Order: sequence, then structure tokens, then C-alpha cells
Amino acid sequence: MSPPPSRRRFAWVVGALSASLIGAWAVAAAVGVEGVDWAAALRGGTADHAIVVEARLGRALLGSVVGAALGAAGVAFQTLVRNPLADPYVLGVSSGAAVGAGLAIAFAGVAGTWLVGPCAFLGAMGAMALVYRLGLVRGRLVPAVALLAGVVLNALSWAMILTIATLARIGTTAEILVWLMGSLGPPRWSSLGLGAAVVVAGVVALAALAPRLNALVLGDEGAHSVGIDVPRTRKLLLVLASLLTGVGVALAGPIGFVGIIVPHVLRLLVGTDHRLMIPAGALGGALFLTLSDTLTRLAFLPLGAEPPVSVLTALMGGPFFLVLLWRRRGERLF
Amino acid sequence: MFEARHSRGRVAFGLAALLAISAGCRRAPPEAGTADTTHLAAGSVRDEIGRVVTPRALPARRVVSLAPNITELMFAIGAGGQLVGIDKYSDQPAPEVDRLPKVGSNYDPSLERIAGLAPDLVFLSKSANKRETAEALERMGIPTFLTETPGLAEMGRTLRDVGRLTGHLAEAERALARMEAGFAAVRARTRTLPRPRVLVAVWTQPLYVGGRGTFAHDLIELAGGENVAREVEGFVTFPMERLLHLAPEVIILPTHAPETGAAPAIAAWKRWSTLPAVKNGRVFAVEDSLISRPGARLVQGAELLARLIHPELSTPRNRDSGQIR
Repeated sequence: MSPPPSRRRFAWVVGALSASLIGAWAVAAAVGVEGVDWAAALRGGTADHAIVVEARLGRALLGSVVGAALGAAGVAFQTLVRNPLADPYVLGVSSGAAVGAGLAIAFAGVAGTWLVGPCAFLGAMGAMALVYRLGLVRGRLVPAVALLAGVVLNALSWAMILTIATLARIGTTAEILVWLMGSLGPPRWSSLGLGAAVVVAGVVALAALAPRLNALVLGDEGAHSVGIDVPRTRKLLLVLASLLTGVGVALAGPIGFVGIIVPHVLRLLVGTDHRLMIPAGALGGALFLTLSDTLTRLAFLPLGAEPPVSVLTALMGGPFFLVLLWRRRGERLF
Repeated sequence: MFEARHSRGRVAFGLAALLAISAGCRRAPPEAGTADTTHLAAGSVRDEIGRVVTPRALPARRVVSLAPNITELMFAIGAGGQLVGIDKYSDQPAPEVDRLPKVGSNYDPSLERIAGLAPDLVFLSKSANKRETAEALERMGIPTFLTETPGLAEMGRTLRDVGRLTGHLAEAERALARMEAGFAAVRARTRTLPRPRVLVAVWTQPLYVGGRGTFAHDLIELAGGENVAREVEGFVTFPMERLLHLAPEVIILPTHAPETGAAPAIAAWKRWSTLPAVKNGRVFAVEDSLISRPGARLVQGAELLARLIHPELSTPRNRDSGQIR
């Protein structure tokens, strides 16, 4: 096993990303389509205060929690499936979470609001377990099979969601379809707090697994030879990554490509060591989605309407994914 | 009423569904057409988008309506007895519509069922139905008449067309006169009152509001309010921070069946406690079809809005609205 990254390097990476994230929050609170009277904003109970704290900062914090979940999950999925193209969205895990959440919204009535999270987690787990199991060929994980299973699962989930939406009441149908667009808004502070707690716990648990993740990169035999219980590690990883994806989807709907852009850019900057990559993935995901959403809010100025943030991440992530495919065309991706 | 398009993109599908939460939707510039028969063969008429239509009988004795507003209008002019089938979102007038065969949703009705009912004429509305449905029915030899009612100004045309084609033109004229008198009465009562700032929020998260060119906008202005979102057109997303500055005094949430569970939607507004509407408990869920369906109950919708916008006008609370305190 490689020596742990130096304390200085760790502090530098985590410190720089944290500082950038705090900077992103400041930018998010400062900019928007409306001019703000800052003297009024500092007093509670004014419209300007509500604009800065609820409409801007609350939303930025929600974006950070969701982005952190998706960024860290992306790192985990890419190692789990041993493929750089894996992410919660591509693997069908986000769609699985969406089916769970859609069921909760459609049929659980008012209770649906708190059931959405657990149901999204179960949906994510189910999808990931299926993809993983299908990807195991004679005890070895074949990334191509897992990715293809994810593609098919995406289509299948989408059909299930449309069926759920068709069967639901008219108002609920719209609610599900709107939620599926994947957008951030001013959060309920209670659900934001709960989501943040789960995401932090999930990221810390993943970080604790980082040495074993490093070993998994060596391949199953390699990992086994350095004393890692490969099936058990994989299962833990699967649960944690699904948990993070489930929380992200429950809070904001399915938002794609965060889990693919962020780990790739970060690997170029900090290398492949998971002891750095897990915290960096979480902080980088938070930074990326917060900035993307701030741009989305500003889109009202030229467009006269606000697109969901998932549109922006897909518009950046889609081409990114294609370039990645192109540049790696000589390598064996599958 | 609800409409969706068979769009492949998730976003497009969601948006189409959302925009269609309220029928009527966006106001398009009116195209040519009214059921006048000049220069046409006997027995033929021109529909509201300019197509030549030849009903199997004139007046049509067996009629299928694929749009909830047409179903309402037919009953309002005494032509309800000629209906042999309706779309599943045609829920008014209850209970009269309950006995009628349903032919499916208005965006994807069962063509076989419609054919089986052997109608003389099928009514569709441009905002509630797909053009393809009309074309498919025409190919099956079933005459179709497309109405287009983008705003209050076009109500008269649609009402007269439905009346003429079903042999109830005189009743249609009387219904129209009643409707205009009803609007005039609302306008007269509210004209001299101050005009509170009103928001129509069709969706809260993300925020979608009704701007110019929606029935809700027309009715609010008629009922003595000022639509805070009149800078935008149609049902569109709107920045929450701008809304916080616009500070609406009344918020209207168009809701399907508000008496069954509008509470969460109303409660979701409580956090925006700086808004005068929230501070003063003036966030109201209002039956969507009353204020956005170009049917027979728009006057009722206008009267309801007038009472909500100007509580000084009356005290009895209407059962079609909910309220927070």
C-alpha cells in the first residue's frame, strides 16, 4: 500500500477546497436578479433579509449538501465499478432513487414528505444491488456489463416513473414530473439539517474506507493479496454510495453528471489516492453544484426564466463525458 | 384540467405537464376562423383554426367533447343531452357528466371508443388536445371541430360556435350575455376600490407564476387586483427573490380540488413571512378550473377572486377556497 498523503498535502487540498466553498457561498448570497439593500438585509424580518438568507444562502447550502453527496458517491462508484465513466446517474442509481421517491410522493399522501428520503435510499440501493449483481460474472465484476445494466435500468426506471405519474392524481403527477427535473430551491431548514448530517456521516464513513478503496484499484486479486475482504468492502461501498445518492436525489431530484465531472477534474489536481479523493470529491461536488446553481439563478436575466440546475450540469457534463470518451478511445474502457 | 405532450426529453415533458396544470395556457395570437359558412359548401363550416369541417348532421345530434371547457359550455346552453361521450377530465357539471361514457384523457383519447359512439361531430380545444387527435379522427371519417379560446376576448366566439353547431345558438347568445353581465357586475363593484397586488402561483417549488395572457391574469385584473407578475407572459418560472421585493398582498394557488389537501401547499408559503399575503393570512387555494378553464364558470371564478382580493365586499367564505390563519 502507498504511504499516506502527507499531512501538509491533505491540509492544503482540503483547506483550499473549503475556502473556495465558503467563497462560493459568499458569491451566492451576494448575487441575484434583484438589487439588495444590505443595511436592510442585516436586520431580520425584512424582504432583503429573506432574499439573502432564505432565497440565496439556503439554496446555496442545499446545493452544497447535494453536490457533496453526488461528488463523493461518484468517486465511490468509479472505484466500485472500476470504470471512470461510472456515476450515480449513468449507473441508474439516481433513477432507482427517483422511482422510490416517486412512489412515496404518489401514494403516501402527506406522509410522503418524510418518506421521500428513505424511499429514495431504498430505490438507490435496489438499483445498485441489481447493477452490481448483474455486473458480477463468475465472481468478478465486469465494468462493461455493470454499465450496460445501468443504462437499461435507467430506461426501465423512467418507464416505472411515468407509470406511477400516470396513476397518480393530476396534481401529484405534475409534482413528480417537476421534481424529476432536478432543481434546487430554498430548502426546509429541518430537511437540510438532516440531509447534511447524513451526508457528512456518509462521507466520513467513506473516508474511513479509503485505504481499502486504494487496494480495490489493484483489482480483486491484488486487493485480496494485501488482506482486504473484497466482497465485504464492495458491499459497504455499495450501501454508502447508494445512501449518499439517495439523500441527494431526495433533496433535489435527479441531477446528473456532478459525480463524473468532479472526480475527473479532481484526479487531475490531487491524484488518485482515496484518502484525498473522498473529502476532495465531497467538497468539490459541493463547490461545483453551488456555483452551477448560482449561474442558474442568474439565467433569469437573459432568458427571462430559470432552468433547473440539472440542465446546466448536463449541458456541461454531457460534452465533458463525450470528450472523455474521445480522449480515452485508445484505452480499454470496458 | 391537465395536458401533456408525448415529449421524449424529461425536462420538456415535465414542463409541458406543468404548464398544462391550468388549461387555457398561453395566449396565442388568434388565428382566423369562426363557424361562418360564407364561401363554403352547404353543411360545411370553418373551425376556429381555419379548417373546413363537415359535420355528419347540422345541428349535430351526437357529440363527443374532448375538452372539459366544451363539455361545460354544452351543458350551459342546454346541449348536454346531445353529448354521447366526454374525456376523463371533463368533471363539470357534476353529477350530470358522471353518466356519460369516458373516452380517455384529452391528450390521448381512445379513437376506437370515439368511433364506436358514432358521433356527428367531435369538439376539441387547441390548448387541451393534440392536433394529431383531430387529424386521426378525420382520417377515420369522424368530423372534428377545433376551438381556440386563449383569453376572455375569445369566449364569445367559442360559445357561439358550439351553440350554432349544436342548434342552440339562441341559448349561447343568452349565456354569453349573462357572462358579460356577470363580468360587468364584478368590474363595477371593484372599480373604485384600491387594487391590491396579487400573485398567482401555479407551482411553489420551483416557483411558477401566471403572467399576462393567462385567464387567471385577466380575471384578477377584472376582479380589482393587480397581477405582480404582469411583467412575464404565460406560466413561467419566477425568481423568489424578485417576488420577495414585489411583496404580493394576496396569493392565489390554483389547485385541483382544493378542499382535499391544499393545506401543505398553503403551509409551504409560511416561511416567506415578510410577504404581506403571508403575514395577513391571505394565501388562498382556489379551484383551478374556476379561474383557468374557458368554460361556463368563469364568472363564478371572477366573483370568488373579487371576494378574496376585496374581503370588504362580503363576509361569507366560499367553499372553493382554503385559507391560513
